[in-house]
Formats: sequence, structure tokens, C-alpha cells
Amino acid sequence: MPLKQFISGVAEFSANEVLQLDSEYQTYLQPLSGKSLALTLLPIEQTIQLQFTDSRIDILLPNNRADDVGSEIGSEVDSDCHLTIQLSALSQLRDTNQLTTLIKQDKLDIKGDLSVAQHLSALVNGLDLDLTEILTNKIGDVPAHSIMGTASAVVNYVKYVKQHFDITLGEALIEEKQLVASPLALANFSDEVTDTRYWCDRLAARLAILEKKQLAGDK
Amino acid sequence: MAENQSSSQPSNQTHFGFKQVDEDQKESMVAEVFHSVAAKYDVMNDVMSLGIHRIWKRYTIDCSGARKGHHILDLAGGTGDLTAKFSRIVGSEGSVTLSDINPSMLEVGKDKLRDMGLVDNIKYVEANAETLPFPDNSFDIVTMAFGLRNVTHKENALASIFRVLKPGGRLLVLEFSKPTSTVLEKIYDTYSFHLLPKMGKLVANDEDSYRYLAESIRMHPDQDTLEKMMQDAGFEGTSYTNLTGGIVALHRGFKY
Ligand SMILES: C[S@@+](CC[C@H](N)C(=O)[O-])C[C@H]1O[C@@H](n2cnc3c(N)ncnc32)[C@H](O)[C@@H]1O
Repeated sequence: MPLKQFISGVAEFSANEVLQLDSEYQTYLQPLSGKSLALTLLPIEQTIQLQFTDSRIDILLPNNRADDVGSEIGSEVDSDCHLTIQLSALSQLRDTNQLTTLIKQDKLDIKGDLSVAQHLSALVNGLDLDLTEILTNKIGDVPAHSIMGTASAVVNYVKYVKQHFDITLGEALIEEKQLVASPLALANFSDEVTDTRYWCDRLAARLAILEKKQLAGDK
Repeated sequence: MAENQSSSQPSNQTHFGFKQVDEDQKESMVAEVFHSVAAKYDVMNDVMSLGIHRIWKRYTIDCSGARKGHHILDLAGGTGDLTAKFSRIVGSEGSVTLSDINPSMLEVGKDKLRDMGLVDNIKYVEANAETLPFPDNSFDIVTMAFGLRNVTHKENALASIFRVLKPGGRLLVLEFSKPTSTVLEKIYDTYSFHLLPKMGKLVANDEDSYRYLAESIRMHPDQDTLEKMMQDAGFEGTSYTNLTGGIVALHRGFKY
């Protein structure tokens, strides 16, 4: 099974499901409709192409194989905006202030219509995923609130248990320390045992004397 | 291999699954199969392939080089899975022609694509792949997914596709093929000859059609034979990729 296509299929499905969760998603998709954005990752030379319509996103992995006549990286790709970026710099892409630095360092190359990238960024940042509202739309007001109420009670309980566990554990550790007897305490304990044994022996001897006296009296 | 078997038969005989039938009968028998499976075709496709057909089709699209403004022919396109995605890629300047010999399959495809909101750039054409009703050099890409094995004279279909492709255009044939490992072949045989018809009976109440599908898969030419047939039809730069251990193969060829 082609693994990459499996992954892109799952990613496409998830992206579209997430989009549907925000009732405003079409507002953000509208300016992107009919446009496409390609992202080529270096050095792995994998291109991911996003194709937008006003209702969904398709994710493609344009495949240009070595046996294609005249093929070079990205030659199969024809998109409105094409970003080529070093994998190591990918995490910096979110920070728009870094873009110029990345371009200067040859870690990022942008070709085509930059507004596509800007609209995509607006879409990603604009999605407002209010869980209670989403549930309300799907299953109705009362169940949604009771689910969210239960969920927050569970979260609070977990927090409480965790906090409580932390305290108990702390105390237990202190107690544990005290249970591990010091040599002084051990010597003390052993003295007390010797004392007790002494008093027990004395008591036993007195009992024996009393017993003898009693027997003599009876006779 | 399988082709050799059929060419050793009297010239007016061909195979319909494992049966030998008159050549002029095959078309209507195939039509009957797809007419009867049309309504449940999509569900059965998912059930039979455990959903993997979607990934094979994704791979086909990723290899197609389709882009905005292209004119694409989805031949034997049935219920239009490839057409849907192509339609979004080529946009309003391009077009996708969903063509099939079977009106029932086309009708199911048309309904499905309309429900998806895809109307503007799709044409529906009922046609036999052997005698395509399009002018020479009309399409940038022709795809044929799981269709070629049902065609009576495959060499005629390949020649007809070659004619309608533009110079520089490419053909992609996605079709069941020969598993590369004998173990996989055994498992796959058991699955397709025992389990598949039963599933067909259970889900679509149509054991015979699904038995035909399994048999026709086995009678289809293997990877190298099909590549050779494409070259004989005039295609250049031909190649194929085995998918899922050769259960399916994607063949590509260019018209220069
Ligand atoms: C297994 S379906 C594949 C449908 C679709 N391409 C898919 O992958 O889901 C095979 C299709 O081939 C069509 N077909 C069979 N013989 C044909 C022919 N000679 N010309 C055109 N289409 C044909 C059938 O009607 C049927 O819709």
C-alpha cells in the first residue's frame, strides 16, 4: 500500500473534518477557491500540494519520478504559490517576522502569488473551534452542556486527584523517612526491651514466691 | 500470459471471467454485470478492497501530472471517483470527461458528482473504449481505472486512447495485476475466489457478478504483458509501479 498516499488521505480527511467544525470556514476558503499552494520540503524533495475549492481542501503529493522525461524537482507541480523550504526551518514558518531572514539564509524560496499563502495563514489562524458550540450544533443544547459539564467536572476531579496525590506522596515520603530508624532509636528500643524483660522476670519471680506461700498456707 | 491463452482460442471467442464466450456476447454480458452492481458499486468497492482502492486512486492522481486547464478523459470512469478530484484540480479553464459504456454506472456517477457540487467542468459521455467518439489529440491525460480488463479487444482500446491523446499526453492504467509473491498470491486467491463472491452475495445479493470480477482479474494480462501491449499501441516511456505487492499495478505511457 502506498504509505504516503495513505497519510495524505488521512490528512485530507482530517483537515476537511476540522474545517466543517467552524461554521465560518467558507468565509476563509472563499478567497482561496480555485487556487493551489505547493510546499516543497528539502532535502527530502517531497512536494505537498493543497488544492482549494470553496468547500474543501484536496491534498496531493505530485509524483515526478526519475524516469519522467525532463523531470526535475517540482517540475510536475503547477500551483499559484510555491514555497520551497528546508525541513529544519519549517517550524520557523509560522513566525512571519522570520520570513525575510529565512529567505536571506536560502532556507526559504517563495514563487508566485503570495496572497495565497496569506489567505491560508488567515484560514489556519481564523478557525475558531468552540467545542461547546460544535457539540450544541451536533447533538443539541442540553446534552452538549451536560457533556461539557461532565467533561469539566472530570478535568477538575483529575486535577484534584493529582494535587491530592502529590500531597499524600509528599507526606508519605516524610513518614517513610521517619520509619527508617536511626541507630540511636534502635539502641533506645533495645534498652527498653531489656528493661521490659527485667521487669517481666522480676514479676515472674514474685508470682512464683506468692504461689509458694499460698501452697504452704493451704497445707 | 493470459492474453496468450485468449489468442490461442478461435478468433471469435474470448473469455468472460473463466468462461469462453462469443466475442460479440462479452460486451453485453459485461454490461449486465455493471448494470446489476451499479447502485451498490461504491459500497462494495470499499468493502471488497477494505477501502484501499481509495489509496490506489490517490496514487494514480498523484502520478497524473494533472493541472489547472487540463482536459482529462476518465475512461470506464464508472461512478466517477477520479473525475471528482480531477474536476477540482483542472478548475473552470479545464474539463473532465467521464466516459463509460454503461449508462447505469454513468447515472450513479452523475448523481454522486452533482451531490458533491461538481457540475461546471464535467461532461458525461456514454462510449465504448474501443471506439472513442472524440477527435484526435483531444486530451492531456487519459485514465482508465479498473476498466481495461472488461474490454473485449484491449488492443483496440489502447489504440483508440492513443489517438485521442494530445502529443505529450499520458495514459494511466490502474488495474488488478499479478502479485509479486507466491504467498500473497495464495492469500489473495483464497480471498477473491471464496470470500469475495460471498461478500457480494451478502452486501449486494449478487454472487455471480462478484465471481466474474474475481475471475476477470485473474484473466487480465500481467504487468509486463500489459506494458508490451501499450508499447505496441504506440506509447513511449512506458513504465509500471506495483501497488500492494502487485495486487494492483499502475501503468503509464506517453504519446510523443
Ligand atoms: C470496475 S468498474 C471501474 C469504475 C471506476 N473507474 C472505478 O475505478 O471505480 C469498470 C467499468 O468499466 C466499464 N466498461 C466495461 N467495458 C467497457 C468498455 N468497453 N468501454 C468503456 N467502459 C467499459 C464498466 O461499465 C464499469 O463501469
